[in-house]
Amino acid sequence: MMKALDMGTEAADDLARETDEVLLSRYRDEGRSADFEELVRRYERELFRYLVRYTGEHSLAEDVFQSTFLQVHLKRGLYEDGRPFRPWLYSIATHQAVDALRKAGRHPTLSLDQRLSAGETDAGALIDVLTGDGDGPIAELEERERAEWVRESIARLPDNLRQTLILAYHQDLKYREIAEILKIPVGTVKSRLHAALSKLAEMARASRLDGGGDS
Amino acid sequence: MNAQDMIDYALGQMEGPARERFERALAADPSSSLRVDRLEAALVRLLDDGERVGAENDDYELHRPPAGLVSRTVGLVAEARSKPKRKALLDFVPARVPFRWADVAVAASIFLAGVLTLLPAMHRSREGTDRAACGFNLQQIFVGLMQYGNRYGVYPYASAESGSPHVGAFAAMLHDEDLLHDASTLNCPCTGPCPNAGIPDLATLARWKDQEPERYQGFMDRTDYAYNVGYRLPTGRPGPIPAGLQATIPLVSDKSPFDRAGRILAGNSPNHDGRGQNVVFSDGHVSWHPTRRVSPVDDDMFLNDDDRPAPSVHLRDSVLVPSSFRFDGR
Repeated sequence: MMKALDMGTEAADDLARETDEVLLSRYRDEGRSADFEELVRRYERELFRYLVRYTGEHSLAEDVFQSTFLQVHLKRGLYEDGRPFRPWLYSIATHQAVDALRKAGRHPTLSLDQRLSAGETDAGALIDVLTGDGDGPIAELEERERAEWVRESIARLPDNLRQTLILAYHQDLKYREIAEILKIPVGTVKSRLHAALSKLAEMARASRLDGGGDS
Repeated sequence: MNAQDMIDYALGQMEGPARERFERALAADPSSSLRVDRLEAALVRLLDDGERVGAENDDYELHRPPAGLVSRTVGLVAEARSKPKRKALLDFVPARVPFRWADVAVAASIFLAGVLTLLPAMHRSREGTDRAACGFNLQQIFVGLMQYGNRYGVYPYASAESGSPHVGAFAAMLHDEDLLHDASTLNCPCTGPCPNAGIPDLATLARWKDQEPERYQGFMDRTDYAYNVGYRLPTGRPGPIPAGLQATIPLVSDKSPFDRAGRILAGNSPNHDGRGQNVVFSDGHVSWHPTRRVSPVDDDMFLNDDDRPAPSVHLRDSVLVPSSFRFDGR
């Protein structure tokens, strides 16, 4: 009995040592469900968190999480050896989330190549805007109130800006990975990030004018 | 210090050596360092929703996955795996097909059937091109005949006294008048290529007839076209066709089938494998005739009304004979 338990632990250790890419390649070629389960387990928290942030709903995020991994299973034949798994997974998840939001009738009808003003793309001006108010009005809020304000404000951002911001800041993906996921140039990723930050700073100033800073 | 680098650094987008270089530069530049610190603090205030920092802290994890998410997801995929896959068309194609001679035979027979289907079309296409080239030759000859007719009032005609009384002499007479140079004009493309031996003048032809009969005969045989042999004058003597006739009469055509005994055989010209013949008329037009009939009053362009390859008995009865036949019909 103890021996069987030891063997099971060893197998789990073996799986844990493998990279995502090796697990998916092996699942594609040999169909071992343990490999697939290990991938789901590895990305459970990270991907679910991304989907909740992006869709704004736990139940919808759960559905999208499951459909994302179902797509990974169905499209495993298209996975090319050596291609990083993480951006590929986020790419599938983002498409699934967009579809789910559209089906739920909550997809904002924004043009993907939305024009950004010059002020939003100038890095120096952006830093001035972000640091200009010192600690700013939202710093005066309680920590939980501030986090609540952040969640609500990000949810109000246009879809393409919110997508880019969540991937870059909250999910710690690199510019080139985001570019690959969203199928846009790296320059567009940066300009969308600038625009998102600029809009959030604007919202923070507006909340002070509304008296939000007094609460 | 580059403002974009500051943003990249604060967002955690800078990696490896670039990040190390940037940090060294920051250490050497207190004002930039202060600016970056403020930027990082501003970003945390604006973007930290309580999940990113200390995300593993279960007490404060709003976006915690629901219990059993992994097992439900794996179960969903297992269910999809166990479902029989709806067959697509390509699924009926075996991944690896063993080599079989039967397959080669089927492929070869399909290829052969394709080739056999296409061959007649290709043959017809080539034949059409050659037939058009043949018509072009006749037009070239007509141009020469017309100019000859303008000069002399009659079309070329070699009498018995000329020394070369055979019909093929018409080409030598055009050549003498500088109206025909290229011997290939006398060769129908449908009969295959012909050695370009040139066109002799009439005197040379007469000399060949007496001294080199084989060469003389060779020239006559190389000419693929039949020429209007003229008509018998009211006096009974054969003579040339006048050039200014109102009526449209055939002047040159593909040669008729004939034998060495001087008989015209039944059927169409051998130039086009018996399918018909091109004819150029005195008004310059060329037309294709699937029979030997050229007009309502002339049933056979290769024979006169007496069924002979000899001068016609009246102007409406045209007779076109091969080059090796005589003008006087003897």
